[in-house]
Amino acid sequence: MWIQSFYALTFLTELLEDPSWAGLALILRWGLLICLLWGLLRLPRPGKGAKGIPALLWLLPLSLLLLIALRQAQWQLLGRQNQEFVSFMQRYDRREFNPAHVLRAGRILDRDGRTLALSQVTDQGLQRLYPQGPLFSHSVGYNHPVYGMSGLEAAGRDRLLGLDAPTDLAELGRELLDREGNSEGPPLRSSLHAPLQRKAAELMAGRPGAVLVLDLKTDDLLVLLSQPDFDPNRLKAPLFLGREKDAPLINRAISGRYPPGSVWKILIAAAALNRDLNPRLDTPPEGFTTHPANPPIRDHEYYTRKKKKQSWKGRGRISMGEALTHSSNVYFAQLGVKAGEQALKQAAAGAGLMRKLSLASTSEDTLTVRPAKMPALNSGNDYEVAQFSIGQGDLLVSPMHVLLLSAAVANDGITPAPRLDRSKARAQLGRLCSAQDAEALKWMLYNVVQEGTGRGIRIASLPVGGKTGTAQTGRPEGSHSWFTGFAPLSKPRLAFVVLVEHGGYGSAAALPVARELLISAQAEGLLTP
Amino acid sequence: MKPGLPMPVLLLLFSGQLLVLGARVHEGQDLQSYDLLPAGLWLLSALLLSAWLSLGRFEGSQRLWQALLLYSALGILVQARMMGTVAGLSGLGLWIQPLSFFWLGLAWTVSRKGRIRFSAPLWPLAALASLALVAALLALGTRFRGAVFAAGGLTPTELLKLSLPLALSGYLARNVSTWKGKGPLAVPLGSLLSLGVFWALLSGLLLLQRDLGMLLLLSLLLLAQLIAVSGRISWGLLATLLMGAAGWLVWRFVEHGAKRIEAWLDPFADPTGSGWQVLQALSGLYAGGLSGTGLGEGAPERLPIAGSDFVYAVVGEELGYLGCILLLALIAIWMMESFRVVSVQSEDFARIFGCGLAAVLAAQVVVNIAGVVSLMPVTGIPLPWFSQGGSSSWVTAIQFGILLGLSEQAQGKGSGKKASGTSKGKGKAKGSSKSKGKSKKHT
Repeated sequence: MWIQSFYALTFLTELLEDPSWAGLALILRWGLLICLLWGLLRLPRPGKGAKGIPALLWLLPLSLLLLIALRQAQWQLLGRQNQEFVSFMQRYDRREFNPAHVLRAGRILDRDGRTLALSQVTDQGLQRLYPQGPLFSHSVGYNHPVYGMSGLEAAGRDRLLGLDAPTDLAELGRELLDREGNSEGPPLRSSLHAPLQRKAAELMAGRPGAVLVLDLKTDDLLVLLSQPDFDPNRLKAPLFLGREKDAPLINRAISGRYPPGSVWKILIAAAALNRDLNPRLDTPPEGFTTHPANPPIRDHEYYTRKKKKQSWKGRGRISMGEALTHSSNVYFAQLGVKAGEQALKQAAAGAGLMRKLSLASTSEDTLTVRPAKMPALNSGNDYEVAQFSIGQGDLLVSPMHVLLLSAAVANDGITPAPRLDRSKARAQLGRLCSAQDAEALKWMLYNVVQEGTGRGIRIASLPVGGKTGTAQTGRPEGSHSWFTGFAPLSKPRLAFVVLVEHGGYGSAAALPVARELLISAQAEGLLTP
Repeated sequence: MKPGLPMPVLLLLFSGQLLVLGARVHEGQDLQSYDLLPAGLWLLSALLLSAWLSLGRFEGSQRLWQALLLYSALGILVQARMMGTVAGLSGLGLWIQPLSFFWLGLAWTVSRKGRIRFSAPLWPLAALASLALVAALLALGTRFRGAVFAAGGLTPTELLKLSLPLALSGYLARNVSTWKGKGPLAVPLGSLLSLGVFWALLSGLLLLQRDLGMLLLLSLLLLAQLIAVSGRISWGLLATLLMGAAGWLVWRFVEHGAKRIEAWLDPFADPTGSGWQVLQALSGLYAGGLSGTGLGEGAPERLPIAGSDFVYAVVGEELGYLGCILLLALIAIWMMESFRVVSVQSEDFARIFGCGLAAVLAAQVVVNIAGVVSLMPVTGIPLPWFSQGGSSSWVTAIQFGILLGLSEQAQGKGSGKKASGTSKGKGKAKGSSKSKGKSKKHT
């Protein structure tokens, strides 16, 4: 008998090793299911009965079996809809035939379709790659199995896997039957402009700071740069433990906190104009103070002359335009006090500085602008108001807030809501000032570039309006260097801001970056109306 | 109609066995003659059982018999598939299947033709034996993977699935009318009290063993039998409340149970720890998809303890969602048929006892599979005739054997209904004074 079974085994082995076995196995696989179905169908009919015990007894387990079938379908058939489940399988399931292993998140693209992030099946399994390296580490962010997600990767995670798409039955059927085809999710198109972003990074040359460029026609952020950055292709623990120099993980552009310095004068000017205040004020060399006990607020020329052992005579009675041109602290300290706390607060609200603004269509912490830190301004303390009016004191804003100021001026007084994610609906954050006052401010800022502190940015073929800022930090590293503005003057297309941490004068560090960036943008055709 | 082996069962066994062997050859393993043993022994013992039932002139439910054959054949295929990978084939393992069918035949023979009533007076013995069993195991057993085993890897608590239905139905059937109170709040306090004391003792012992799964199963059994004896659904509401409270207590005060509940509520909280097993099972299901990888071609070695508690995940992975739906339908059929067979019993004891057996079987299936698909926490209850384990397999066989025996009473042509019409049947019914009211209702 054993010999016979040995022969049978040899025969079986030969049969099973035959190349046609795969086809036979397929038939047998379905045959097995059909046998089971056949067996079920040909069972004799049930007899009568079921009177002696309540129906609940068999209804309960029966409905539980039904629930089991539904719950199982949720995992077995629709498991793709569950992001956590898919990422568990991608990381920990060693069944190489599991279709989750080829289920790839879609690409993230820039506005012209350049790839910023993509998923690839490599010999180490499924990997998320960032072909631009660190360039978009704060906007596109990262998607890492250990360190999690940030930026657009996090905001768009469902869309990138095709989860938010309405699942019609045909689509669902395709997904069930052809589980490995069409395994890359749909792409997500961002607002970013890769060449301009690269140019901005080159110009910053590794100095800590931030650059933002906004397209006023579409509210798209063309550039969102925060330096230092990190490479999302090579994430390491020290980055997340805060052990790296200058905290590269922080997105300085939207969650940094800096004193704005003189760029803040745009807001004060708008607040005064809102109250129909456009006075000529005296700017004496001894400065301005609200009470003899407080140190006077003086113009920057006073300090530069004093350094050179020269004296400063002041500019005399000047207009708002002149004061902006020369960035007169003495003028704006007085103007702010005259406008009053309420008008200042109102203007800040109109510029959207106190809102939690999300740059994506879904709320995502790493793409949410941190509201500005403002003094309460309700103590009746005029000196606090004066300090506030020159962008110092208990006031901290992010580069995004400064961008909103120039964008509102350039946009007829209406503050746009910048977006990184083009699926986010366009919106307005508020009104900084009337269209008429905005027009006046535009010309004043143009004058800053023509004759004042912003002279360095003059470009022959491009009329630019802008404002420098030199924000005192009270630290030995020196002042923060700001430059913000818009171009072209008549019908502004771009608004921008550059911040170089501890870069000194606004005209020294930030302004040259802005200038080169504008020239590049013009070459890229981004300034055509 | 004779209790033969229907064609689909044979074809199922044949194609399944071929698939398992083919997959094994393609994994590079040499075929051994004992690879054919599980299916071969099943076929042999099924033929013997069929002959046994034919010789004894089986007149019960053909539907139940054929559904059980189909269920058992699928079970043995899955077990044969698991033997090649996870568990080796031991000498003892060879006897599990043939003995299962032997016990089934024996239980059928013993319980048919109304002979089941002779076991009713044994209820105090069964009750004491149940308690003694748990207590003895607690004192002498060895702990492995959270459960307690006796010598030889036997799990004697499996016997509770027989002894407790017997003990409870014997006790409840003694005085059926006390349980059928008027109004939802009319309960026999005295009887309930003694039942409660017994139950508290048993629960305490099981809790000490940390056998929460068994406790849940036996609570469901008690509930089913209370509903069966009283015919009132309000027991169900009460029991749901009590079970909710018990679940909460377990969560708060039994560390071992709390872990399971938390792993169920959010398996992703600790994916490589407490959530690992169920997530691997679900990954297998997802990998299987609609039609599965094919029997033998999945990767159950990725799933810890796949052969016992999580065997349903292997079915899902290899037979796909379609296979699972068919299996669930098959389970629903034998479950419904069991309850139907039980519900038309003329004797109270047989009705309540049978109901208990059917409830234990149904509860095991539901609790096991619901755990695998994450509909409820994992409890460590096996899937009858699919999970490895001799004790469980034999007890299941005895339960099914008794249900087959009872089904002979339930057939329209069978002795049960006819008997209640004839004078002989009436005499029988009068003979047992407790079922007087019942038989009056029937006529």
